[in-house]
Amino acid sequence: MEKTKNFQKILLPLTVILIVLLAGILFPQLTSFVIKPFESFNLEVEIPKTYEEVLAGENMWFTTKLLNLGSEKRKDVTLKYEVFDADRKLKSSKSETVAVETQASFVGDIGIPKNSEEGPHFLKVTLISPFGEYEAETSFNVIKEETKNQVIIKFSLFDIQIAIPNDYKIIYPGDELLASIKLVNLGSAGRIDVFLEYWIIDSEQKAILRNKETVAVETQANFVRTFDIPKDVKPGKYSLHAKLIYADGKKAEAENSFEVVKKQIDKKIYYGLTGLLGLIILISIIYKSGHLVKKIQLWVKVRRIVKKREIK
Amino acid sequence: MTSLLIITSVEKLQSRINSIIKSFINIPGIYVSLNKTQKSTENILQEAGIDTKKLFFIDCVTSERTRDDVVHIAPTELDLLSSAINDFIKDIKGEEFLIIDALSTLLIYNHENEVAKFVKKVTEFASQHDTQVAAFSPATKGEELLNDDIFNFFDKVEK
Repeated sequence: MEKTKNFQKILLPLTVILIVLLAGILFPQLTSFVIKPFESFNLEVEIPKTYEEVLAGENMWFTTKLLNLGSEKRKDVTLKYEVFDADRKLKSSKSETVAVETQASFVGDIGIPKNSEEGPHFLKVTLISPFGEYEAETSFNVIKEETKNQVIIKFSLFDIQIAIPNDYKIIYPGDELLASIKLVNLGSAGRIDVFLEYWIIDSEQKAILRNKETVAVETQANFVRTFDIPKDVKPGKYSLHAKLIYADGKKAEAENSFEVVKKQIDKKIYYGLTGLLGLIILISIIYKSGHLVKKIQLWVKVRRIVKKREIK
Repeated sequence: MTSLLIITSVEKLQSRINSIIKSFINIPGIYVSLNKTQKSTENILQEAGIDTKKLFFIDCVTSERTRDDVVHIAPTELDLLSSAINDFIKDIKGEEFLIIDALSTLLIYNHENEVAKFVKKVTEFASQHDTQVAAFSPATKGEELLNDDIFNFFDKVEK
C-alpha cells in the first residue's frame, strides 16, 4: 500500500511534465505563452538634438530601436508611445503595430497638446509582445515660444540625391553596394537633425534590405553609405531608395538603380588561370621536347657505338 | 626462355652473372650496370675471363664520360634507360642478350610501380626481338626487395 502511494507521488509530476513536453512539441505557440520568455527584446528610444525642444501643439519626432535577441523570426509587436509631464500626468498617447525581425528602427512622432505646460516632459515607449512588455524612456522640453531650432526646422527645405558609382552599378549577390548620399538644405538657417530611411527593392517592389539613421545637416551633407547585399538575392534590377524626414514630417525622397548579376569568374582570375595553363603547357612542351632531344641523342649514340663495333 | 630473374646472395651474385654471360658464346650483349661503374664491371668480367668486346655497357652509376662507347644514364631516367636498351636491341644485328645488374638498385631511386613498368617495357620489347634477358638481384634476409608485380614480367624467377 505504502509502495503504491510512493509510486503515485512520482507518477503524477512525471505525467504533468510529460504532458507539458508533449504539448510543447505539438503546439509550440501555446507553450511559448506558458514558458516565457522565449523572446527577449532590447528597446531604445532616442530624440535627436534638434527635436529635444518641442513647441506645444506641434509633433515631437524620435527614433525607436528594437533588437530581437530571442529569434530571427518575423514578429508583429505593438509600440505604445506615451508623453508625461513633469508630474507624470499623461498628456498624450499613441499606439502602432510594427513587424520586427532581428532588429528594426522606426521613426515615430507624437503630438504635444497645445495646453501642455512648459518644462521637462517624458516620452515612454512600451513594446507589447506575446512574450512580455519592455519599456524605454527619454526626456524632452516643451516650449511655448519658438527658439532658433524651431526657426531652423520651419525654414528647412531639403533635397536628397543618391548617386551610385559606375563600379557599383553592376554587382554580384553578397557584394557591397556603395552609394553616395547628398543632402542639401535649401532653406538652411542652421544645423538640423534629419531622419534617413534607406531601402532596396527588387523589380517586384519587394524589399530586400532596410536601414535607418539620423544625421545632422547644416547647409549640405555628402556621405557614403554601404549596404550588404544578401548572398541569396536573385539577379535582376534593384533600386535603392532614400527618404529623408525632417521638420515635423516634411519629406524628401530619392532613388537610384543598380543591377545584381550572376557571379561569373572574375576576368583577372580568368586571364590568370589561362596564363598559368599556357605556362604549364609551354613548360610541358619544353620538357617533352627536351626529353625527346635526349632520346634522339641517345639513339644516335647507340647506333654509332653498335656500328663502330661492327666495323672492328 | 627469353627473360630470367635471378635472386641470389650478394656473394654469389657476380659468379652467377659471369656464368650467364659465359653461356652466351659469341653473342653480343647489353650490360646495364646499376651498382658498379662500367670500368669496375669490365675489370671484374675480364678477370673472370669474359671477352668484354662483345658487351655494350650502359653505366647508371657514373656520369663521367671516359669512353665514347659507353652510354651513361641516371638510374632515375627509366624512360631513357628503356629507350637506350631498345635502341641497342634494334641496332645489334642478330642475336643479343641483356644483363641487368642489379634490378633492385632501381628501387632506391624509383617507385616500385615505375620499376615494374620499366621491367614490363623492357621484357616485352626483348621478347618481340628474341632477346634473352637476365636480371639480377641480391637476396636479402627478411623482406623481399622486389615484389610480385615485378616477378610477373619475367618468364622465370630463380631464387
